[in-house]
Amino acid sequence: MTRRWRAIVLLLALLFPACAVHGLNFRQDKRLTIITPKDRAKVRLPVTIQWTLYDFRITGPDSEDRRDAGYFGVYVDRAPQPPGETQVSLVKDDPPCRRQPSSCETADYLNQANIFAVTTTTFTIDQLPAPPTNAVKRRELHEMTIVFLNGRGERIGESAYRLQFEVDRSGTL
Amino acid sequence: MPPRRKKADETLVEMVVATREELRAEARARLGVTGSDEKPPPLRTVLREHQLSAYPLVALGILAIVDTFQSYAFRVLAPEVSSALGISAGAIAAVISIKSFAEALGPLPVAAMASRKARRALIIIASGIFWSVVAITTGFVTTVAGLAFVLILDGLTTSSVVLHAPVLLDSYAPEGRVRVLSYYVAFAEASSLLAPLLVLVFVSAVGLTWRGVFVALGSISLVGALLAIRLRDPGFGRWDSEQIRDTVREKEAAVDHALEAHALPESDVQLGFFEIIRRLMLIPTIRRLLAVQIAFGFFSIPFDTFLAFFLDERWNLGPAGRALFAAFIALVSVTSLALFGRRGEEMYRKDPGRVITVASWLFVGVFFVILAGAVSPLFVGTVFFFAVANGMLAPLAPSLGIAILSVIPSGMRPHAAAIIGIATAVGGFAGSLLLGGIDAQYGITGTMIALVIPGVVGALILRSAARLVPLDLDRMIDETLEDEEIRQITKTGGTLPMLTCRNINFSYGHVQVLFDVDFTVEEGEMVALLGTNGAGKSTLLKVISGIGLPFAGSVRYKGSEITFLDAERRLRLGITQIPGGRAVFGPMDVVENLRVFGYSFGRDRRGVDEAIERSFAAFPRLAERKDQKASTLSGGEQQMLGLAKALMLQPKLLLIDELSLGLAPVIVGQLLDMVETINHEGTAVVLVEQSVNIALNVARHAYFMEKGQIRFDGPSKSLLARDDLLRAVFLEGAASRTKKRTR
Repeated sequence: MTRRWRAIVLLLALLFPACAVHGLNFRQDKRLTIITPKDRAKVRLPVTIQWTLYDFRITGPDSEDRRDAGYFGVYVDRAPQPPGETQVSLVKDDPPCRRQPSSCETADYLNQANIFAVTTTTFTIDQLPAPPTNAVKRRELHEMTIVFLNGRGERIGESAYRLQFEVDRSGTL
Repeated sequence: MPPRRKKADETLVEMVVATREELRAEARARLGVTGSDEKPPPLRTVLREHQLSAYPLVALGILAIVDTFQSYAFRVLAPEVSSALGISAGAIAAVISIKSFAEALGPLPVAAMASRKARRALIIIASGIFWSVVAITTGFVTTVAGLAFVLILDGLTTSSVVLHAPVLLDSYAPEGRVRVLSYYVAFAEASSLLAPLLVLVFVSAVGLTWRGVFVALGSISLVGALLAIRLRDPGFGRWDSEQIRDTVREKEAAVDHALEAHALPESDVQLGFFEIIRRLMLIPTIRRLLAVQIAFGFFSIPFDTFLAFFLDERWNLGPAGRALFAAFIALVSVTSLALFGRRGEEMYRKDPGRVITVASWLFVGVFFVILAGAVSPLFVGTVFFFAVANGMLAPLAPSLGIAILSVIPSGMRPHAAAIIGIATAVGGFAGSLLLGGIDAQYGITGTMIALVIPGVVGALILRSAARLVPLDLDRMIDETLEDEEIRQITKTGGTLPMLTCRNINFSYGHVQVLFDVDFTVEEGEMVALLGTNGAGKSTLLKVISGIGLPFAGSVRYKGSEITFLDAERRLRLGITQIPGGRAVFGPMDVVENLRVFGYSFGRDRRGVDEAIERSFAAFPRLAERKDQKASTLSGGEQQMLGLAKALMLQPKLLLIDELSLGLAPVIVGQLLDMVETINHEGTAVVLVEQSVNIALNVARHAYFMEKGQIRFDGPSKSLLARDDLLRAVFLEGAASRTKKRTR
């Protein structure tokens, strides 16, 4: 085998483990539709986000591993966990979690990290950190992502539903 | 000089100059620079006349469109990739940085691959297929490492687009080059129109996810790459260096090509990758336009990002709105380039510098139009002004391209394109950092306004390059003409001097020390190079041995050009220099010094040992002191050790700088005997000396230098009769001796 062929084989050997064929979404999953607010709308806090469902049952955390039933993971201004992982995987490397893993598995800890679990089709954001007063004045854009979780709290597939909204703080102290 | 002889010489010089001017004018015309106001014929006529096909332009244009698909799709779909894979925005930013790094450095290996053989078309086709497969593979990635991997591969493979312009220049006749480059850039701009529209259609109408979009775009890219599969490399310089050579060939009688015999194999004198880069950096136009590219990168690379933020911030445009905006302004660019092609060609025909002047005005104007767009109170105004700015900016790429690529030989164009890419990336990196800081302080509108500064600086530099382009074009023509003339001489069985330096100009920084120096050494000759202190003698030796590179002129060894060849490669060709002032390594002993001299023997340890023995036989004093540190040897012994280098390497041309400096006459006599022996064995010697007596006693041919110019070239005996020249040396020598005594 010549050096060139060896290099090609090595390249493919490195490339293939990083790829997969099964469980990938090539077409958009339209089982969830965010209805309010509109994408990139200007909102005042608290803001309630509402969505509709199709072909997915809300069962809550019932320890079942089904693709069409479970509940929702909601993430504000951060990426969700990779498919198949639980929400705790997002914080497992935080220093307090390394010291005492059980302390991070609470809803309070996850909520502080802008990670939420929801069993209804609405979610209300009460407050978001205001931009520093000395920063350049910009539109305050935030992003929320919703994913499906199965009964065991693991993310189902790659489907993710994103919403951008602008927070209007005019008139607030 | 007798008056009659002088007149005859002057007539001869005038004839040579006139012939050179005539050849140069003809060569310029063959390169499309006719100097006339005549309108260029339509491109279709040019193609028909030269029996050329539009296929290379279309094939490369299609590749220029599809090469950006992966990058564009990733840029706009990064949030979806982040959500789907659960990768943080920080990780996405990190992989994008790695990709940018690969994109910046990728052109270098591409240029290296294309430098020896004309296989650019093969590299272009293979990389086009490869990047398409990579784009498809991106749709199957599941990890951040995989993502980084495909992005790096895309960055590296799409770097082959640096070969597109050089291939186009070699594929089309000079009469249509500006138009061909403009239309090619229009194709590339069309990618900014097509990529957003395709992503919009695939996401909104077809309902694909980011994975589906990558697979779809990759598949389209693959079709595009396969359409280019019939592309063939036109060979280096078919329409320029070969055209220039023809002007000489047609002047000569028909020559039997079988007689062609090069003294040195082509591989021995063909410039390597870094030698080419170094040579390019000595061309004033290239240096100046690289600075412009940095300014251009400073503006253009962060501009896209800041424009997206600006449109988002100021006009609340989401990804779809921004894609449509980008598509619209790209459409204006494409139209502008289509219109510019013919006009640019006209300007280039009249004066290549004119293209650059016009580009510099457009470059300046762009920033004021952007400014108007940034502060416009109406969205329509923003769209209008940004579209106009894009339309004005578009001709900059073909203008810079034709200016840079036309002043360098064809084989070096991939390298030039590579360093342009790097300069743009460097500017982009610096611009991102600086404009990021301005953005944090003054907001996005402030940043858009701040772009005016690098723009105006770049435009001023560009303006200053306009006068350099015709000069460098002529220099390139002269170099090619000279090379062809030499070839013709060798073909007809004519003999050439062993070493010929022509019109050497050299400077240390901004201080020029050699001015149009002509210097010749015949085979086996002993030449004395004399002159006052600071006359440029040692510098000339450096230029010959490769330690210094001239910014103009040529050095030829056995007829082959070696002007920009590395010093160590010249050593292997048989050129050795013994520097002045005890050229030894003081802390090393005698044998170690000799071993260092013999590094060019490589692993041939026996060869080195034999060479050392040869040196010891010639200089028994060195053998006696072989374990002694060189710094503890006497001045004469150190000079012997330096001279032993010549005995070891057995060069064909030996350059000796100031052999007698500070040595007793007896020692000088011994050393000179050795130099004469070396010369009698067939080695040509150039002896740089301040001592006129010493030099003229051993050399029959002498040169005299003063203030960086050759003032005398002829038999040593004739120099002895030139009191006007020698007085300077004697007086200076006497003055320095008086000073020493006073101290």
